[in-house]
Amino acid sequence: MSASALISVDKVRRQYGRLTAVHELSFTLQRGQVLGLLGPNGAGKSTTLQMVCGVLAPTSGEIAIDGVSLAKHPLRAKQRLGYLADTPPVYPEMRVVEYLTHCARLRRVAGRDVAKRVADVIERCGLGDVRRRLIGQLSKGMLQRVGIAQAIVHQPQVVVLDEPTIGLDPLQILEIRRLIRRLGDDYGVLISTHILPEVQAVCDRVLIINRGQLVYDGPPVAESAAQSARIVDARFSQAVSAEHFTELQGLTAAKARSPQHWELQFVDDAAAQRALATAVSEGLAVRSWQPMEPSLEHLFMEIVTRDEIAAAAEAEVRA
Amino acid sequence: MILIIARREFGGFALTPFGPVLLAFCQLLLAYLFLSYVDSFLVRQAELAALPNSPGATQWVVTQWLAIASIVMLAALPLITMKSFSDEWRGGTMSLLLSAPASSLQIVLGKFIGILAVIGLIVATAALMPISLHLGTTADFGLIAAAMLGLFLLLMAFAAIGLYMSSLTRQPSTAAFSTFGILLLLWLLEWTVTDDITGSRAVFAYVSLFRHFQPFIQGQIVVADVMYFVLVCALFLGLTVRRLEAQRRFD
Repeated sequence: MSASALISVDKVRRQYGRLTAVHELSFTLQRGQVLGLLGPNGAGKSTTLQMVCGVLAPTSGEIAIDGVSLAKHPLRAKQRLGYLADTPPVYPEMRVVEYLTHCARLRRVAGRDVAKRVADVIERCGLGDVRRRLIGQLSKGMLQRVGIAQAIVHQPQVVVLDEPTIGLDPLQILEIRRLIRRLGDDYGVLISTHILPEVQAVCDRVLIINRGQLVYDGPPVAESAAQSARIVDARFSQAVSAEHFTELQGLTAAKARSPQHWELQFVDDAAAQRALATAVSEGLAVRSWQPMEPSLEHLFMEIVTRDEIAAAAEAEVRA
Repeated sequence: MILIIARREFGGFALTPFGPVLLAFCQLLLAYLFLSYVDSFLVRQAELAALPNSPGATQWVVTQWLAIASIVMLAALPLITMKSFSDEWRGGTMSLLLSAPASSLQIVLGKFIGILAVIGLIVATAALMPISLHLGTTADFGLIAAAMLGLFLLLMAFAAIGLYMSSLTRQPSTAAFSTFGILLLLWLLEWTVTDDITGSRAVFAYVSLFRHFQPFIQGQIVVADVMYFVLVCALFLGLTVRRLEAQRRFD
């Protein structure tokens, strides 16, 4: 736990009745970082974010925002945060500018600064054209921008966004991601999502949680590119059977997607390159040979399925 | 902080079509009732004047009018308080309040004061009716002031109960109906109390909101009755604060 961490979460547990949603979760967020909280639906992402923002109290454990304990000094800690929940917390009968003014006051922005901060945030989130519109009439993308604007209007140190791109069209998703990326320059940002490419697009670091437990904490791409490049996506012009690969040196596994489409795994990158040469020289008609991009998806699927298998095995032992 | 939340609460009521429509209907009903009592006074004026200790126009009209008006408000108030917390939970805006640097007490007081502003508006416009008696006769302003203070305190207690019920559920309709049920029960308690208030009846008599309201509409301001309404408010606002805290911890 370094003192300079913007968010420090220490052994936090949260129970809903007898169900434990979050088990002993610990992590920190440093200044200038965009941290992604990734996990399947129901993994405990929203619960974790709600605890960080003081909406829910943890059953046990400590949370501090910029070194201020959320349990002991809730008002001081909350002044340092901005939060966008999974549904934007807006009042449909208010106008955008009225709503943001209300939020700024609610977050204790000094009276003389309110108008300026609201104008800044409208500019920053691209809300200029709709500032006089009723919030209830806005499109989902605009609504999400209003939600983000509300979370940063008081210039907090920490911005917490819960699934900020859910329900948006692809163009809007790109815009919101760009906005989040820019926020990362000035604030510490914590976002949750179940969309893998999103994490790769905007995060510096990723936490993967499954069933309320932290299963991965690290950069959003696998450790070394070479490690992932060992897997090759190969397509052939004719049907190919497993016997064709017996000659290939350094092949560790071959998985057939279809007779013409295989996923081949090699011991290292060099072996994969040699294998291509061998395959071509032996007259296999290779249509495409593509080393897989280092991907979080692999990592994620691996971790989550491994967990599922472990849980199933455990259940079997108990039975 | 409290005033910022109060302003929003009042705005939530005044900016939606629901608020003004509700207020308009309240005024319509109150005005109709008022008119009918003025009419009955005019019809029976001679008869009443012959009575020893005859009631003046203000007394005759206001006392009877507010006894009925309080029942109209008993039905209307739950509709004013029902959305307070339920709608914030349902619309997802509760996260805005809970993550803001405001304590649970500030949130509850803010909402309560916002509702008091609505109630103040109702009482102020209702007060114009008995004051209009002054056009035709000499109105008893002392009695009107006491009666309006009583109405305000009664509605304030209704509001505290309604606010608590609203914090218990996400459904405004559930909040409204349970508030109405409780207020109606408190009103019915009055019926079990006859002139003989001894033993267990004394408890009912004490709990009944309306028994504490009656002296006001007869022109008396009794400190014990004022304190009673203040205590009812404190009790239910305290329960609401506890409810918010419990929700953070256990829900």
